[in-house]
Amino acid sequence: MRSPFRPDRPPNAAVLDDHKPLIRSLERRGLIRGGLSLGALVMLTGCDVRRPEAVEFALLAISRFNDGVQALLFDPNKLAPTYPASMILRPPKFNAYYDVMDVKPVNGATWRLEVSGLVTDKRAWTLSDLQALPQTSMVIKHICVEGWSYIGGWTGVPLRLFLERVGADLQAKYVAFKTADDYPSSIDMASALHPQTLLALKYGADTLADPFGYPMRLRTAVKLGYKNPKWITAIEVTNKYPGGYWEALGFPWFAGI
Amino acid sequence: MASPRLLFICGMLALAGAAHAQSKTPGGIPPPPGMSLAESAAMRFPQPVRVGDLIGREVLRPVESQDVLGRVRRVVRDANGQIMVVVDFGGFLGFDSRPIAVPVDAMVLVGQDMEIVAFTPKQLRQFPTFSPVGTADVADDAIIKVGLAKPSH
Amino acid sequence: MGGKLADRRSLMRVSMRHVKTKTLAVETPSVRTGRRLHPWPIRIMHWVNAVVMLIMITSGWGIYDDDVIIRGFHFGSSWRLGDWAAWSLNWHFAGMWFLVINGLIYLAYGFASGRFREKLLPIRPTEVVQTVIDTLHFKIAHQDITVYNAVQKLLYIIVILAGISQVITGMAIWKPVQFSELVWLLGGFQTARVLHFAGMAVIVGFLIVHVALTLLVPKTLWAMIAGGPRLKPSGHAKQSHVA
Repeated sequence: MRSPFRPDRPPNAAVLDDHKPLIRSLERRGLIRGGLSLGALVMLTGCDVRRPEAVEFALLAISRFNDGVQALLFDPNKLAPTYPASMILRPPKFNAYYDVMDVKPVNGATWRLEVSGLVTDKRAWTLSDLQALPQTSMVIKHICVEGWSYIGGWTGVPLRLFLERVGADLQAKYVAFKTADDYPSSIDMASALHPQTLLALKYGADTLADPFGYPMRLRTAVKLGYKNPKWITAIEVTNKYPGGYWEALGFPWFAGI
Repeated sequence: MASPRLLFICGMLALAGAAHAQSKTPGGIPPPPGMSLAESAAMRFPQPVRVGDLIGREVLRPVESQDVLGRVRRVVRDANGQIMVVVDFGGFLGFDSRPIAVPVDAMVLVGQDMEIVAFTPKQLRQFPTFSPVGTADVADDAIIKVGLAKPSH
Repeated sequence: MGGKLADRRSLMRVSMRHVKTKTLAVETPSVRTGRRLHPWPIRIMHWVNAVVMLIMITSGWGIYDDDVIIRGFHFGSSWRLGDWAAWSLNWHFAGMWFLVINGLIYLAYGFASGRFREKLLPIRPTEVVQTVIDTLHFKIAHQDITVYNAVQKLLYIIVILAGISQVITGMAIWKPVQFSELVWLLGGFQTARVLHFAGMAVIVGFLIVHVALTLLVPKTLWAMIAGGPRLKPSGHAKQSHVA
């Protein structure tokens, strides 16, 4: 089966030519694999590439080192603080790499969750299939890399349970996501297995609304907001570094809190 | 003819580009000239919110510095049945502010705050001071729909 | 009888002089000769810290702009290191290692060598008040730059504590779940952000005063480059008297 992570159209060669040195340095860092997403390309053309390449290289190298330190600091048994349901912000705060007018709602009836990679069961899931799985709720603090935070409540399938159901190799390094809004994302397996990492289907007592990732988003209490993709369409378990939308633009990958 | 959404985005990115030099995808873009407030609010995926949860919220300007324009005092329905948000506008740290009525379609929810996206501070200063005559308070437990925007920076 | 009284009086006089010298000796303990005011490790750590602190401050301003803490106030593109969020963060998370490693070596050196005890203590409140009054009258004693006045001691201690505070609040912001107890101690995530910002303001305030005074007394700047006057056993500068 063709990997859901290969882009539908190859990137515009002219744009890439202009930014070859930067892209080569990013590729060396292994940050871009399998082609740039369209969204990332749009951002790249507006990028200021006048910074010295050597400085960027050094900063990204230290960023990768920090990922390793964060992985060491991550305690898989440590739970994020939880809060009373009365503190849930309704509606939650919206964010994306575009403004809300550009949200592309997903048809829940025709939506399928594709599963691929190091798993034994590669069947696609419908929304009802997922709703039939055991659900967990949590009221936690969403923290954005920008600095703002709010308390939200999500209900969904623990990602660990889902990975076990599809016979995923739990020793694999990465769980990668593809979304309906061209926002690839990935997390480390340890965080994926954390009890407060959910494939969220509800916010509060209600089905996720369109701007907040309907029908399904990732919600993990141990990562910054940008590691929680919305409108998920595919999950892949892999040992090849999958990167992500913001990571391709220089943001740290591990991004654990 | 280009779709309204395309016009909305492209037209306003050009305008917003000058004001928001920092962000490549700024939030809180004003509606393009000619588009009604109701139309532009409808494109922002309005979400249900409890009126009581709006009271006291800070009302911000959709720019990186997030200037505080005022605070939500209450929500009313005007003589035409339109929902208006009464904002204690201007002044400094709460002193010398005056209430103005801003159509809810000119505003958005941003997390725990609100923003006014359809009017500049200069335009807001021209708004008449709010008079409750002919208006009716909307109850705290009432649910109204308000559009969203991504954070401004 | 008179002779014995006279003896006793002269004995008292001798012992009073002895007490006086003893008091001086307590303030300036005996140290090795030939040392410069600023040994080379201090100088290196000082300038490393200067560069790294500027990196942390300006990249921090860039991160701040992404979601301002003081509504209505932002730094803007001319003041930030890193032209947008990702790069301000990368500078900040790179600089932090150099800040902490350099800072820890400096603290270890300062305690182990006795430098902190010698140069920063004791601080008497009356001395602080007097020095502030003198400074406002532009009576900044700079004959002997090897002895810090009370305000100097206070400011240096404050900036060291502020630096330590920045590392602590920074860690809380960086890992609010892994260090959730620390966040709770600090009063919550958003409070930790405010404290981090406040610590920056204290350090920037210090920098403004520190740089201004250094420029007013340029030999202090030269001392931090070349080492400054050699110290006598008493800890004072050689060939100069205490002002």
